[in-house]
Amino acid sequence: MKLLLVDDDDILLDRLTSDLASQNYVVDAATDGLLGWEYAQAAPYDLIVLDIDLPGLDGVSLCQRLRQTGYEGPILLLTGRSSSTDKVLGLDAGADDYLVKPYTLVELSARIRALLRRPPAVNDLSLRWGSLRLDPNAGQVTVADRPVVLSPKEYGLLELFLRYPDRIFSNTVLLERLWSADEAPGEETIRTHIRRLRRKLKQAGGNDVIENVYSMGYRLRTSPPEPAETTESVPKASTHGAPQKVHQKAPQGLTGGPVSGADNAIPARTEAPTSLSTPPAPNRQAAQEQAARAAAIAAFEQFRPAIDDRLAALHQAASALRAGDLPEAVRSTACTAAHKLAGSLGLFGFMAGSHLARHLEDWLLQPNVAQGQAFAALVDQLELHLQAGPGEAVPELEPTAGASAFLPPSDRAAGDRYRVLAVDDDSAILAQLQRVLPPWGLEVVPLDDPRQVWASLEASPPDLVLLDLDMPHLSGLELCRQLRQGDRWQTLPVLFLTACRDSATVYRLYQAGADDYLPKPILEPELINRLFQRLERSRLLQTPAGTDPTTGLANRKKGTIELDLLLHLAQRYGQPFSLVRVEVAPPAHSTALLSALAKALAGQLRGGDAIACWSQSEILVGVLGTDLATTQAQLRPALESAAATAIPGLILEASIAASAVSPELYLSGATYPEDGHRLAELYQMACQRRGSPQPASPGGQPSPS
Amino acid sequence: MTIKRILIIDDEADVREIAKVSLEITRQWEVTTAASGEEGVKMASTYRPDAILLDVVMPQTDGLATLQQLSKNTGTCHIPVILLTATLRLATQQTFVAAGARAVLVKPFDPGLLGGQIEAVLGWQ
Repeated sequence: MKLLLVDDDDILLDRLTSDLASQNYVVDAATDGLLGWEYAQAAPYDLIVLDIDLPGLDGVSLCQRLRQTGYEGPILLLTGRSSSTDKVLGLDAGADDYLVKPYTLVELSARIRALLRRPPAVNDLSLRWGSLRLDPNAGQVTVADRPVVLSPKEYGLLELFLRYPDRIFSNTVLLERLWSADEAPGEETIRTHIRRLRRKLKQAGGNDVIENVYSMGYRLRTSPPEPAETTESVPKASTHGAPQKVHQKAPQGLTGGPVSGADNAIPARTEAPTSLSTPPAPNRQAAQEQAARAAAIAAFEQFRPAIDDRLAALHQAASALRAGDLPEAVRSTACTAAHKLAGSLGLFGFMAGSHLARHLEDWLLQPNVAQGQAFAALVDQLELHLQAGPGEAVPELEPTAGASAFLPPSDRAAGDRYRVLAVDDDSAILAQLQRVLPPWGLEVVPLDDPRQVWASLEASPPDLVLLDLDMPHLSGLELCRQLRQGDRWQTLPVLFLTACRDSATVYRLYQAGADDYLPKPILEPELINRLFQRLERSRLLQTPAGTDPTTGLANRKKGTIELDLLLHLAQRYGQPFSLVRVEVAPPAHSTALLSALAKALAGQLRGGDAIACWSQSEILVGVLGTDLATTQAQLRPALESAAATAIPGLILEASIAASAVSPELYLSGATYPEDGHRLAELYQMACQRRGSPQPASPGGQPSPS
Repeated sequence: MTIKRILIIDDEADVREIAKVSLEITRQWEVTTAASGEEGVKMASTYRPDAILLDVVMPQTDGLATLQQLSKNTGTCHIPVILLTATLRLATQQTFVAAGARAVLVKPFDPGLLGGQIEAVLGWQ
C-alpha cells in the first residue's frame, strides 16, 4: 500500500512516516500543498493524508483538485479545528474522513486501515457527474453526499441521462423508456418531470445536469461543472500559531493540473458556463465504461432465446447422462454450447456463469459418465444463476454433488497430504475452507491476521498459499510482493481469493506475483480444481532436479553451480568470462516468450557454455573466453528474431489489463575481471545495466552493455 | 482523436452486438459487423476498416481461414486483426498469433474496457 502524507509540520511528518513505514506502508511525504499535488500527479497512491492548513495550496483545495482530476482513492483530512463547517467543507471537497488534532498515531493508523478496507472505487457502480452521484444499487441520489429525494420517474430520467452520456433522448424515446404503454402521457408530462428534476437538483446545490437540445430532445450536459463552492468565505485559523494563511487560488501553470477560470468559479446559479467544456477526462471515461456495461446488461433479454437454446443443449446432455449414456452427437452439441456460453455470459455481467460454463466445457471434452450426476447439478446451478440476474452470486451447490464432479488425480498416494496456508480476515471463509479442503487430503492452516504469515511459514511450511485481497494491517498484494522478494518463497504457489475481478485488480495480482486467483464467493468444485492444478504443477516443478520445467533450461540452483564453475575456470586460466542477462517484463506474460528465448539462446551456444533460467522472467548465459560485446553480438540476432516472432501482442484473458500486452525484452551483461570477481557481483552489475527495453524487432539499436 | 472504423466478424449475434455497442459508447468509433467469414472478407475490402475483430470458431470459414484470406488480399493484408476466442489455453492462443493475428482477445471481454484494450494492442493511444 502506498500512501502520500502532506503536512507542513516536519516533526510530525517524520514521526508519521516512520510509524506508517513500520506497518508496511510505503510512504511519500510532502511539506506543502503544491508539492503534494505534484507527487499525486506523478505516482498512484492508495490513500492520501492531507493537513487542512498547508502552505502553497491548502488541504481543502488540494482535495477538491485531486477529485476533479479523477483521483478515486481515499483522502483523510487532518484538521486543527473542530468547527463543523471545516469538516463539512472538507467532506464536500471530496475527503472521505477527517481527524481533529491533537490525535494519536494509533488513532490515525486505525482510520487509515479503515479507509483502505473500503472497497475500491473500481467496484463502485454509481454514476457520477460532478458532485452528483446516483447509486443504482441503493436507488439513491446524492449531491455532494447529501441525499436528494426523487420520484421514481425523476430517478429514471436521471439514470437514463447518466448512463448514456452522449445520447439525445427525444420525448418519444423517453416515453417509451420510462412510461408503460397504458400510461401514455403527453409530452407536457415529460417537460414537467424534467423541470421538477432540475429544480430538486438545484435546490440540493447541484448544477443543471440536463441540456435542452433544440427541436431534438434532452441530453446530459457535456461536462460536469467543477464544484462551485470555494473555501474563501471560511476564515482559517492556524494550528501552529503562525500568521493566518491566505487561501491560495490554484496557481496557473501547475504541472498537470486543470488550468481554467473555473477555479475561481462563483456558485453557479444559472446554466453552466461554456468555459467548462473540457471535462475531467477520467470521470467521463468511467461514465462511458459504465454505460457500455449497462448497455450490455440491458441487451441480455434480447439474446435470451439463443442463450436458452445453448442451455437446453446442456440439459439434454445432462438427461442423457442420467439415463446412463451420452451419445457423441449430444456431447458435441453440448460442448459447443458450453464453449459459446463461456465466451458470452460474462459479456452480460454473468462472470460466474462464464466460469461455470468453462467447467462444463472441460468436463464435456473428457466426459466421465460416472460423474454425470454432478454434471447435471452444475447445469442446474448455471440455470439458477442466469435466472438470478447479472452480477448475482451463484447459488450454492449441494456440497456432495459439486465435490464429486471434479475428482482430484486418483494416482496420488494415500497419506500424501498437501498443506494449504489460508490467510483471510473473514472467519466464514476460513471455516468454509476448513470444512471443504480436508476431505481432499488438503490440510488447512487458517490464519486471520496477515502479520503472522511469516511466523506460520517457518513453523509449518505450506505447499500453497491462499490469500485474501483485502485485509487489515497488510493487504494480500503487499504480502505476496514480500513473499516474492526473497528466494525462499519465490516459487511457492500463491492463489488469491477476491471479490473484485476487474482488470485493474487482476493485473495488480499478477504483477504482485500471484499464480492464480479465485473469485469470491468460492465455488467448491472450482476451488478444488484450481488448487490441485496448481499443486500438481508445483510438484512437477520440483521433481526433475535441476531443470526448469517451463524453459527446459537448468534452474537457478543447477545454473549457479555451472556458472560458478565457468567463472572458476576463467580465473584459473586467466580467461575473460562474460555473463549475459536476458529479462522479460512483465513477468505475468513472460512464460511463453521466455521459453522461445531459451530455445533461441540455447541454439547459439557451444557445449562448454552455461545457460540457466534464473527466475520466471530471467535467463542467464555464461560464456568462457569471449568478452561481453562479442558474446552479446553473437546472441542478439537470435534473441531479437525470437522475440519478434514469439508474441507481438497477447491478451491472456480479457480481464488482464491491456497495458500488460506487450512484453518487453532487456539485454545486459557483465564481464570478469572488469566488472567483478564473483558471480553475485557480475549478476548485480548486469542488473544495474538493465536500462531500457530492447526493441523487439531487428534493426533497433540495443545498447552494448 | 480520429474516429476509428472497426469491422467485427462473429457468427454469434450477442458478441457482435455487445462489441459494437461497447465501442460506439466508449470510443464513438464506427463499427460494422459481419456474421460469417465470407461476408467479413467481402466487407473488409470495401469498407477498409482500421482494425478487424475476428471470431475463431465459426461454421464454414472459421477465423483462421478468414485470416488467411484477408492476408492474401492486397487490399486487406495491412489491416490489423485481433482474434476473439473463448479458449484460455495459452498454446492455442500462441498458434493464433503465429498465424498472423496481431493479438488474441479472450471472450468474455469487459464491454467497458474493450476499446482501451484494442487501443493498447494496436498502439492507438
